[in-house]
Amino acid sequence: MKKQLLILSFVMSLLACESREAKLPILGNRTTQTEVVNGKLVTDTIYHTIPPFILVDQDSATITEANMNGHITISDFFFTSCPTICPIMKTQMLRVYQAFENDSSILILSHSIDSEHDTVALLRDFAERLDVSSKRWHFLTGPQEDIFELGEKGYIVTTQSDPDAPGGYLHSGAFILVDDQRRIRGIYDGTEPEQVDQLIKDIPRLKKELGL
Amino acid sequence: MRLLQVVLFALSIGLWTSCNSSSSENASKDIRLNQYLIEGKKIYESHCANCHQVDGKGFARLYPPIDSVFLRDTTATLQIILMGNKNPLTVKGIEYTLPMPGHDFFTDLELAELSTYLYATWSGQKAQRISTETVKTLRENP
Repeated sequence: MKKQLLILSFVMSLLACESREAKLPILGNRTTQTEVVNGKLVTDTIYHTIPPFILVDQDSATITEANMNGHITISDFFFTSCPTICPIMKTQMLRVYQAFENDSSILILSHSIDSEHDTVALLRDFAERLDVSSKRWHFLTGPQEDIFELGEKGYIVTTQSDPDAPGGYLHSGAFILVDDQRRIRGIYDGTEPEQVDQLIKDIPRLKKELGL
Repeated sequence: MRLLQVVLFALSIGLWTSCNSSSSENASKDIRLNQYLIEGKKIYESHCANCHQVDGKGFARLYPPIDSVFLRDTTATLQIILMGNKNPLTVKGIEYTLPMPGHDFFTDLELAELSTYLYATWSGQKAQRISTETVKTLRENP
């Protein structure tokens, strides 16, 4: 009898483990900060966050890091005349958009790395041709150096001019999942449908964790 | 006796179909067409499908479908593949404005294989092999 009870409790504990999903990791370098609180030493972990930025979207609206507050953001880097991976990234990002089209807690930021060519008017035309709303999906432009720096240092992905690359720019095909405190919670290959499936599954998990 | 009849009948059908379907010349023609179609599909999927999609239907109002009306002009088709296009292009009543890059690095054989696949799949015509000679002539005399 005792033995049976033991087995039963073991099985139940296994089931309990399965139903509790692990939290998504917090990515990027982290540092610690020690402070004296009420006479005691308290050590806090400081996570990598997306730094402040000022860019404009397809409606000429100013978009800053403050727009990310209270939202889950999915970011990528592209340019409209890109002949290689961007079209695939856009077909895949459209899947993400369509999955969360009516969810006001989701924000998509597509940063153009070709500021000279991708003007606000051109980005507006691009968004209209994709039939997407600027409430949910912002196509951003601004000073090229700022965008390169935001990509490299903020999102930890490659973004740079390269005359040898098709179309003149080298950039990562990553979709970066960012939480409401601007911490990176996932990096997915936006050219791989299976990875984008995973992103679409991870967003509700993150929403649940953040209570959004 | 019954068995013999059945076997003879089966043999005669076999003989009839094999003689009918292929003289050896036809068989090798079919094989070459299939080679071109298989290679052409690979080229399409690695160089064209990013924008035009694997099914050739295009993507949103950004990238146009592979259109049977456009394909009617073989010279224009070959030129747009080789040289790309920077001007607005209307396909099935929708104007597309994004530039198409050129692919002048394709060899005559690659171009012939790709064209064979394009025309077999989207022109609405019966599949036939487009030869390297045809492609070469069109390439040299646009």
